[in-house]
Amino acid sequence: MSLSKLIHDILMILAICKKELIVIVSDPGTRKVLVVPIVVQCVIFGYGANYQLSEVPYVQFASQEDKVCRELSQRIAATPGFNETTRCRSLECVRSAVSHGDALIGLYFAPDFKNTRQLMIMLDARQTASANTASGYVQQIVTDFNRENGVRTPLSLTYRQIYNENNITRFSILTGMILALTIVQVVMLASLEVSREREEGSFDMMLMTPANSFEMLLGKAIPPVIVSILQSLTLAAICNFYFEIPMRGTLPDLFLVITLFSCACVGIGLTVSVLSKTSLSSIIIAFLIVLPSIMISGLLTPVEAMPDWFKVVAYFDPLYYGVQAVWRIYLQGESFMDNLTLLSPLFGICVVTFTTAGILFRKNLD
Amino acid sequence: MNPLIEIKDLTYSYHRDRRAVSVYKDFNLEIPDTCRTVCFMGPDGAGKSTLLKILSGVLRVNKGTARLGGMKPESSDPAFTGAVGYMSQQLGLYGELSVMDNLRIFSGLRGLSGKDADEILTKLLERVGLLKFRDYASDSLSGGMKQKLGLACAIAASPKFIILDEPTVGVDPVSRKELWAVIADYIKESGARCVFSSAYLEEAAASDMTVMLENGRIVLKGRAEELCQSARNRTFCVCPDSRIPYTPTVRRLMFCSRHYDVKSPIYDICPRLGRIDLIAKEGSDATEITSFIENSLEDLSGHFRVEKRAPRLEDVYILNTLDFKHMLKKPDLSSLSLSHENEKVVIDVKGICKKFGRFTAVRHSDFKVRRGEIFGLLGPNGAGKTTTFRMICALLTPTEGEVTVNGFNLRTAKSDLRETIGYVSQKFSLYRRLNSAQNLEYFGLSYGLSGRKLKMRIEELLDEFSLRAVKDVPSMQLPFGLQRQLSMACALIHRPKILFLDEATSGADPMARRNFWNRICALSCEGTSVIVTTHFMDEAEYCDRFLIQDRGRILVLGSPEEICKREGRRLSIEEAFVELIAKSRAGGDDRDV
Repeated sequence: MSLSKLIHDILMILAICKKELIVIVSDPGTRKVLVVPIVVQCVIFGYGANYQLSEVPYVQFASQEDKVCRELSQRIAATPGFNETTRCRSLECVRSAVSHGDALIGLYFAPDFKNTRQLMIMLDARQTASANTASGYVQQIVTDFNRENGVRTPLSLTYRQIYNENNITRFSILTGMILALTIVQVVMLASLEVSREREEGSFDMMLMTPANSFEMLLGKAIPPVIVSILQSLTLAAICNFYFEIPMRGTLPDLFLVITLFSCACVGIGLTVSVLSKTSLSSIIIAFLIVLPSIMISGLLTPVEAMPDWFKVVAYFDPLYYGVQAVWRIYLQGESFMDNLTLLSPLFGICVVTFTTAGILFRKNLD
Repeated sequence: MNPLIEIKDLTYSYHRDRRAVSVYKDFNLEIPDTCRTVCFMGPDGAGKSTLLKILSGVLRVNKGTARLGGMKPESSDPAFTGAVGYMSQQLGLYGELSVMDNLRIFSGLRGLSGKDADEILTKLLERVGLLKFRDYASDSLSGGMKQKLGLACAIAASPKFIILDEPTVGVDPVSRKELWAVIADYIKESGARCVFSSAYLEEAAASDMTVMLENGRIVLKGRAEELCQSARNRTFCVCPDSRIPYTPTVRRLMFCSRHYDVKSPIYDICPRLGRIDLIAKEGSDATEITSFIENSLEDLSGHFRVEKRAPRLEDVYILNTLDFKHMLKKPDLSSLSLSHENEKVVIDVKGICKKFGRFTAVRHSDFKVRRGEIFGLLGPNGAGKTTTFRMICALLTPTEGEVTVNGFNLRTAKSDLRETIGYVSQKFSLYRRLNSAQNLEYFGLSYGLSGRKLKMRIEELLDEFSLRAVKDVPSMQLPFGLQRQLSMACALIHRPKILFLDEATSGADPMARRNFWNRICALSCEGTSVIVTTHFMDEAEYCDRFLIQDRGRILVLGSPEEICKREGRRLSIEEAFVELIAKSRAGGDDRDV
């Protein structure tokens, strides 16, 4: 291939890119949709999606005086936010306080506590999330207590849902949002690229130009990838500067993950677009892909808590890998190269989706 | 009796980008009730649709009054809406619903309901010839059938006034005849009045009153016969004898008009019925015209005579829209060949078939298009023209057969072959959010132009297609006429050697079509091959050869002279078309429909 031909091809791809960008940016509606929601959502999640409890009303009943029991209850009472609403004299009192909502959790030191060293926690099941969190705090306290005192028969709790051990939900949710909010918009954006042109009739015009499928695909893919990277970086900046979540990794590492993830999202979007006849159907399909991919990504609920057979589904979710990698880089300070194995499915998604879209590009849906 | 239309001091403007765009200012019009049919004609953006929308109560006026049969148009007044049937240009049918359901909805909205309703609607469907399709989704109908359904919806509730906005746009002559038969029957039976707009001047000429609008003003008003008086003494025709070939003569003569030569006494040239119709400068006579032609094209001397002819409404229309502000560039005629037979075959269509499921859209088409030839594809709606067209463009793969362009299959061809092709599709298909300059730039770059060359070409086209004034307006906001200009400019930016035009003149007024054909003929003279589809039969007179297709089968293929000569008489292409279609359908080959 001669140099002039190469330059010519690049100009052609750039022409398609420019056209796509104008289409995206020229419409004031689209412009707003690309900026306002991610900022608003980010702030809402920042304040709203916070599992930390500022106040934990609780009750307790100890059936007998015991040194361990006394020390533990003092320690709990001294924990900031923990607030004993009434001092109970019976188990019945604990039960009713919890069931009436006076207390979020109830602690019960059984008569044989001395022997079993088992603390029972009663949870207000109506407020699962909050109660879980509160009990997590107790667990933390108990663990600390065990460690410090070196008790020979360690204290244990009668349930095991340990949630949010590190007590920094905002950190993990917000940094996960760097990719999660972008996937929503970029898959949608990319999914419209071909179907909208098909609807408006300009797709035929593009097919008639000398550009080949590969060049057209590239021209169509680059603008949403750029939009996606910019959105993700904006969110990362909000995390870092506004919510002051310390970034331990480096920006180039984060950038690489974001770029790879954006390519995967755009690939999925373009495949949807090539496969759908109308822009309406591509929006619906894109939505059907995006919403579950957020739900099962491990961002909002731990993948470990899903049944085994369902975990398999999560392993097809690009957001799962993306979020894991962002956490490791942003919060733990790992590098992009450390995460290559983790991210390999994203490369796979890129290859599969772009190949599919490329093959189907010239196929007519007649 | 109230006048049919009474408009006083009407002012109407709308807002675009916070700027008011004025359509009508202090507009007055009165049309007596004695007129049963009134036609509005005029170029794009003249305000025809706006006026019809005001009369049907869809748009509200800013100032002044409009009355239809004495009633104030008010879309919330059941007495008014019950009396008026409006058919918009977009038809507004519900694509997913069946033909019958559409009819039920629209007639129900206008107050037709109850037990008898279905019976009335069934009769109506039978009359418009859609009974067979009553359970089809309206989206699956062909263009002509959709138009018929739109009309049926407008007249279902027996309104006293029907307002039809370009009821026959994009419809083939056969369906057009059928549509008008339904309208005429309805008017006769119910005594209703019909107000419509049209780009077909013969429809305007057939109505009781014709109003020509331009830029929100009345240019002409009256009965067609009266209006034609103004063009008296200015209409001539050139009758070439059989020794000179018709189409090349037309093409050479076209560049002798005032558009190319300031000294020319010929204002307008148009091939028709094997003659060449002219409109001359005021005061010119046959002798002056003859000597001018003989001076310009010496080899034609003695092979033609110039005669006077009766003026038609189209002549009047052209005279009122003529504009010599922009002189056109005469093409290089040195390579114009009198016959294309020895030219290189550019497009070779070899036995192509296309089946969609069990439906055969095109069966066994075979033809060749040579260099510099203008080749027409004609046929009723749903005849397979667009399918054929898309197969040639490699936008569809033929089920059988093969199409080659310059010896190669377009689908697998290298990009340099596709660089020689220009394409204008049926509906406006450029990028709507991009402005004219951006659209041109995109297509220019795509077709391999760049840098200074591209810039200069864009400047050139902006002038040539009068787009400079609107070059920063997003193309979706342009009026239809300018959208067509822009589509054409984009298709020509790389000076293609082959040009595909799919109904590029649909909905255009006669003047716009003249300009369009001037350009096409100039291109063909310079060696560009052009393939066109059109619903304006008279446009086929410009073609070197054309074919007529129906139900996927080619009925006839040849030059206008070959197809339209009947025992010494020359039919118009429309007559020949209707005759051929009738004959083929009477043959009863109905298998796949």
